[in-house]
Amino acid sequence: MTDFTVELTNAHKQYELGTQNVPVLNELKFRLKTGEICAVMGPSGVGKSTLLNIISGLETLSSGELYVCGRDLSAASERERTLIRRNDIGVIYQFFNLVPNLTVRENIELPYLINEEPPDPKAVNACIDLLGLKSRTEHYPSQLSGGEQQLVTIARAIVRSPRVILADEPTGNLNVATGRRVMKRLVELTRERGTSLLLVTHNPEDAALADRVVFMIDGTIDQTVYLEGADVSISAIHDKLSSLEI
Amino acid sequence: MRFEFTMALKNLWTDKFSTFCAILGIMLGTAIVDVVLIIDQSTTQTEIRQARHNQHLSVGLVPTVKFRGVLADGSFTKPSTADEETQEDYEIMRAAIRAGALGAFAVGALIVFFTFSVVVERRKRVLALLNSIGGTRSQLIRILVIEAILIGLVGSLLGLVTAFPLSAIAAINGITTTGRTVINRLWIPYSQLGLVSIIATISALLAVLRPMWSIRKLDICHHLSPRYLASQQNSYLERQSAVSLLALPLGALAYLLFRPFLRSQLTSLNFFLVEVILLCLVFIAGLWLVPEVVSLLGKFTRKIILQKAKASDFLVLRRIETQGRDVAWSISAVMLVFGTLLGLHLMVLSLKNEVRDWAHNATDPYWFVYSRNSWADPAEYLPSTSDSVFVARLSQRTPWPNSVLSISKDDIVELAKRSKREDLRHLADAFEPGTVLLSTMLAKRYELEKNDFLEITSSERKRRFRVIGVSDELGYVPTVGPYRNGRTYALINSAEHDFIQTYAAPPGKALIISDPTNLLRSKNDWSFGMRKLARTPGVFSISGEQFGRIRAEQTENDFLIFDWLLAFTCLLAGIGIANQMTLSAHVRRAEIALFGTLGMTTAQIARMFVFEGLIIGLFGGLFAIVLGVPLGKTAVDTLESLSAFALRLELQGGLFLFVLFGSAILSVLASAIPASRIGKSGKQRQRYSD
Repeated sequence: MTDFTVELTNAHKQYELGTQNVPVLNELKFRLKTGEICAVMGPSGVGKSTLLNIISGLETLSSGELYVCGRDLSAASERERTLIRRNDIGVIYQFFNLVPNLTVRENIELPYLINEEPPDPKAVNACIDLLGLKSRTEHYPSQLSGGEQQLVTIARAIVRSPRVILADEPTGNLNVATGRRVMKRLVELTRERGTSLLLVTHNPEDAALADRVVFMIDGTIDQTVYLEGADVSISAIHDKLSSLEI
Repeated sequence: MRFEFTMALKNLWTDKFSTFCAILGIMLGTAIVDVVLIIDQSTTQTEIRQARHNQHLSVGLVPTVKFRGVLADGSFTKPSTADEETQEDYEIMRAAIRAGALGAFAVGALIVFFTFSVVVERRKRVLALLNSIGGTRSQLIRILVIEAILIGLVGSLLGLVTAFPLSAIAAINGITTTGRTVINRLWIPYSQLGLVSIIATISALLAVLRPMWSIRKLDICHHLSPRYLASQQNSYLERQSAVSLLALPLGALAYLLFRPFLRSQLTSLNFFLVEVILLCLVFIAGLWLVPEVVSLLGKFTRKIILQKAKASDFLVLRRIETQGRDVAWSISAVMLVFGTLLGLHLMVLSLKNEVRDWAHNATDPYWFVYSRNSWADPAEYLPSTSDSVFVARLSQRTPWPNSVLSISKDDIVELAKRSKREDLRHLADAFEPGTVLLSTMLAKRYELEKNDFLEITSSERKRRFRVIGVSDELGYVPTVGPYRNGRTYALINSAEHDFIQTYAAPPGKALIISDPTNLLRSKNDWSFGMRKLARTPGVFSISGEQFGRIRAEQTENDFLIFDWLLAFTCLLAGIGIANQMTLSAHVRRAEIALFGTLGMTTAQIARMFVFEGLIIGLFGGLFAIVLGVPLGKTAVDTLESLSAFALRLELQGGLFLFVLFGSAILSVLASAIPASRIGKSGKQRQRYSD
């Protein structure tokens, strides 16, 4: 079994806008180790979200290779990509993460339902307990605060123990204190379970919780900073962002 | 399939109002078609049984004279038979009723189509989310299909169940598909009802075809993007391509070129149906393909009529201007319902006018006393009258379908003289033995004109009578039975009554009393005589005016089933509009929340919906007039070509106003539902701003 949950080689992605081809990812090489937490930072429009969409199989590469959990996504059909996403990937977005007409418990059980299997009550309850949602299980998303909604999203993302979690600005819509709490739980849970986490963020504080921060410019990785074991402060990440004029 | 079922049930429950409207749409559509089928089957069965027991309703069972049409050159004409004429009348009626039921069904299906179209649009982000966490597109489509099947099944079953009591109520209220019988028990065409339920379920399934395609093509990333709402705004500015704008006029041109060919190839009934269906399709397509028409009207209204509009009115008109397609559904439903209503009423009006015009000359100046018994003599019951009152004496009619009656030349000349019409006087002067005067209906049946011959065979005797003219205004006497039969007759000179005496009693069995003004002068005598007459079985008396009035009422009664059908279709249209506006309120929740944050009160927002309802009603009413007039003209033209009735299309301003006001009131009432939901609470407002 490979040590990497995500392997992206010479990834190129471009969009056709009228007669023009607009490149978004440019010869990008990226690997995410099993159990590693990696933050992706960079200015808006640099291709961070596209990178997540491609790794999750929502979008396809124009050229290049992509392996997720050992499977070649660049050659997979739409259905195959969906099944890989279902079984091996958990996704978290900035907002609108929950199905509004399902209760908290039903939202968390949703990955089981989609996979045509009965929900595992142990796993579901464990997630609910871990994220402190016990008193909210029968509530609907509209009855929760933004922070609680994101906690439910995290619960749903981890409930079937995926091998990689992709989070696109998970705290972007939350206040500082709530964001801090949500990120703390997310990082704790992924570390406990040995899940890889790829985190797109603008928040240096969130990025500082990762093992590695990659800075993207013009559709490619400009610099990588390893935080694992190093004493890199949040201000150092700020400085880095400033130096990259982000 | 558990996931799909769970999601489908959850979705249906969440969109309760839309689910309710969609089910109600299918239910009422199915029920209306089922009721028409049950009533039609019951009418047919009742008439079959009556014909078996009542000889007067059957052709050929009662001995009568035989006719042959002979042209002036001696060749025989090929007449249509009375059976065919009558059958065609009823078939047209039945076809029109079925078309009306189909219209109601179409409006019901339209609600389901619109519901799914909007609901899927609204759910795209959720669908994208489900896909992002592993739901395949097939699973997402299956959710939709399950919803459609559930709506279709529940709706069609409820429709089927509702159809039975509704049919009973219709039968009790004297509604039939021919307007000439009384249904005493219901006959249920089970197989046809089953088929309708299946078609209703399939219709609900068809409604998800387009949404299914849009799920297949769903751009997941786009819909998950925070910029989704902003990009959604741009879609408002999308316009139809030139192809769709040209499609309609080109299609109309192609049809106009092919119309003469279709007219010559199809029977009148089929041609009529083709025209009606095409007209409806053209107008629906017009609204669907070219919402710019709606937008242009919105723009026109905003700029010209409401230059100093309130904020809420201005916002509605801008919305109609920029999002014509959104309201095109509701407008097309209003148009379809009120257009059909207008077309039908123009047809009924032309039939009533025909009766009125004819009655004005043929019956209004007279009073009729006639007997159906050979022993009763109406003259015995007549009171003394002043000298100015003239009584013309006619014989009985030979039995239907070949009705002949006789009158003396003196009587018919006097009648013609009193009519003060030169054309009738000329006709009467030529009324010698060996001649015949034909009613327009009989002349049409035998394709005869002046100077042709009608060959009458009676008890082994055969004779040709020269046609001296065609008129319904001399010698008409009301008869028991269908109106068409009463107006199909030949008049011969009483000097030759012996020719028909085997079948009809001699002159004196029917009296035409002219100058009713003088009858009124001797009112007491007259009243006494009339009371005596009323107690005499088999002898009838009626004033011409009263007859005309009753006949006009009967014409209206014949079309009662259409009013009933259209009332239900109006209800369906109202449900459709309420549904469309409620869904629109959900889709526009962010926009509505923005209005709230900008300072619009709940009342102002609710007013927006009511105003939108008013605009939908007025535009729909306007389109209904544009649709209803050609629809009515097509119906009148077809009826005129089939029958000998001289029909004319009368466009009454009052009817147009009724359509405009009716559609506006219906739409405003329908808009009250979303308006009241909007203004419920601040919590609701909060939900919109989520």
